[in-house]
Amino acid sequence: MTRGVALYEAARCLGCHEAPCTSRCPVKIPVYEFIASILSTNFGRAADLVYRANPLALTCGISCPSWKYCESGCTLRKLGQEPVRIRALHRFAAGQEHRTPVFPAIANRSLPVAVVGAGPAGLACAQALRMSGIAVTIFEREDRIGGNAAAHFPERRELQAALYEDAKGLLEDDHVDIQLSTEVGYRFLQEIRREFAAVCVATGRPVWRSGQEPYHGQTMTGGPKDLLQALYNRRSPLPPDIVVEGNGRAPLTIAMAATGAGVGRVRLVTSGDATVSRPWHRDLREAMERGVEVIRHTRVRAYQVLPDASYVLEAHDAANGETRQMITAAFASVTAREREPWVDAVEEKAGNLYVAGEASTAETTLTAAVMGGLRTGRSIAANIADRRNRGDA
Amino acid sequence: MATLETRFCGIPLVNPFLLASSPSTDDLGMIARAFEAGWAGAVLKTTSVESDEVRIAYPIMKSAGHGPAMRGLFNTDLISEKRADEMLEIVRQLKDRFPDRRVIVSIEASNRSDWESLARRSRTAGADLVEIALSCPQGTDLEGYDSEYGTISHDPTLTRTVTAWVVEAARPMPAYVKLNSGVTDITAIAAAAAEGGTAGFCVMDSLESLRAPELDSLRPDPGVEGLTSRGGYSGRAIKPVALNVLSKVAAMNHGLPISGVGGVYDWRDAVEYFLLGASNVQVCTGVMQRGFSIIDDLLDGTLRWMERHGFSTLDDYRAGALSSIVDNESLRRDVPIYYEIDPDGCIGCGLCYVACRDGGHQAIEFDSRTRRTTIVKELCVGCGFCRGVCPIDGVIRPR
Repeated sequence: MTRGVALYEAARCLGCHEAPCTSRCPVKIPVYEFIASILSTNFGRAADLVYRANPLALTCGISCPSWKYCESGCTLRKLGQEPVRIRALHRFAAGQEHRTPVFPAIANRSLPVAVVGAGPAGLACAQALRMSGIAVTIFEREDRIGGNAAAHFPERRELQAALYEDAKGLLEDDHVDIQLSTEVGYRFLQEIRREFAAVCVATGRPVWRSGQEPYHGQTMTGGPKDLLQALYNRRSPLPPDIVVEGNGRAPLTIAMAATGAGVGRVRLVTSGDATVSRPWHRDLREAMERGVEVIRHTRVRAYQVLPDASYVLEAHDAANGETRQMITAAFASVTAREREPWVDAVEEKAGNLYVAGEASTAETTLTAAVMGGLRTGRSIAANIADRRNRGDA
Repeated sequence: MATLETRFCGIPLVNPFLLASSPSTDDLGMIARAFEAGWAGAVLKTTSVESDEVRIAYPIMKSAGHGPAMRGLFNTDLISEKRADEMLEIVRQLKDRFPDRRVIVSIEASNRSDWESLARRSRTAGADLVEIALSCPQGTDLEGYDSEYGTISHDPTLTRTVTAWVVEAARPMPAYVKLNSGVTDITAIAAAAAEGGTAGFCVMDSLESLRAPELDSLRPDPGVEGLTSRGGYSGRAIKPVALNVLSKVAAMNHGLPISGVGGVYDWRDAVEYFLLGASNVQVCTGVMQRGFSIIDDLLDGTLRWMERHGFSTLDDYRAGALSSIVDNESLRRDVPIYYEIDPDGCIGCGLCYVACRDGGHQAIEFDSRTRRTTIVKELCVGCGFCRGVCPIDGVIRPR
């Protein structure tokens, strides 16, 4: 968008009071204010406003599904007109004067925080943490930053460039360590939880690889973390049905939590004979009384035998009591919490594991991921500050 | 059947729409196209015996607002660069091809003999009228006369003197004075021109104005090598000023016709001029921006409006609104008035709420949830500001 076209477009903005565009923006960019700044050719303020609200302003300026957010609220639509092209103006503002953030010094006695994933959510989270004076280590499986955004969006080349531009401050900062080509599995995750003040899992939507494609309509979860993300992030509150695999107490508890939360059909798949030999048979009976179907002597490489499943959870690793609690809590909170549609951040109540960004829903969006990352980063920073204050007291 | 045929200074016009002296009237082909489009006449770009020495310093224009949203136009244009005999040749050819259209020669000079010879030569060339261009905001001096006012148009004595010279030299062709609004008392100048024998008035020329420097380069725009000059301001923004001056001159009982200029873009502007006392209107900026074809809207819109109101000629309503202008003290204070918002038309932008809150009487409520605005009758004093703030005409109405 040229300067002239930007001025023309900015002049279309009515400047509504309590502007609906702003209230519909996931990152709460003051839309009218930045558009008015463009109109008065105060491009510096326009850039400040968008970058203050959204450190990945250039990135979102390319790929924000603005028609779902700000532009859906534009009052001009009530006149049957096209909404103001807010995303294009946003991109113009971000592109006019790029803002590289100035990070504060690292606060005393602050352990670094690990961020898993260098996509939009992870980068936003890292940015928020660094802004709070916390050092960050980012682990990224691929050999480049960008995550799904840089891999799957139609405008990925531009996005990739924009992401690098937006992440410049992080990439150049001495207190941000980016470990590319480093995959964080479940066990590594448990390890780094001890080394860092907190771990933010910002791995985003699982990307299916060849040979792993799910059945049509099916969402497979690789482990408790994915289920947790799915539960917190899904816009529809609960999956219609779920398959939990495992032999221990954890899958059983999770299955019971799922029925308790109102999941229509819950199947527990166990490789042994779950009825006799276990000390938890009373619990199992209770679960069955609550409607959990138990499939014995089966392994869940059993996707083939359960092609109708919406969710398949391999819960072997969930034996860890904390993880089990988390998932159980997630089931409870998903039904309990009235969620704003774009909130895709979740904070674990106990422990130091946080999840940010999008899980496996089709409605995932880049801006929502950024929002999730920012929120999680701020939340982690607040918790660390809290803990520090309590320690000081 | 209503007609737009009218007269100005005794000369019949096929309609009351003339081209004002401007770049649009400096070229034979352009004026011919305008006449073909339907314009009743044209005031040629001002000529003087020194015209061939005139060199315009380009660029000369800068708008306020862009495109259709242009509010006004600043210019440092001067008179025509054509020699007087070239101008008069244009007069001859136009009169030859368009005998029913009016060709008005706008003249300017710096001494008596030039004023008089231009008037005489215009008559000989077959012009219908002479416009005495005292009014250019860039100013006109008169050799041999020291004026405390600086320019002729601000000086009643010089205005009377020059008018008398030109009127006498042009006779029997009528000559009229174009007024500049930037004077202390426009009626004193108009009265002086009437004493000098002017056949009518043209109200008004562009407003003397100035552009601030462009803020990146800190150089003037328009400007030449970092320098600029004062100039004239025209277009939509000056219409209320021109109507104000027009109404003052029209209320003077001199019985002379007035040609109105300033911010006419469409038929509504023109009708406003007629209602406040103009016999015809001249259009400059509107034509420069939108082209000669705006004549279609001017003719059609004015006629339909006249028929809607039962007027058959322009004289039926000309100056009709003058009697409604009184001193503010004479306005009644006890007439109840408040405004209402049409809930069906409201688009919920909340602009009226902000305006009333910070610029009015805090009489408008805004519901953040429904985005509904309501005027609290008891608090509304009826100032009328919200009407103009609302993006949709007619949604906020008086009750």
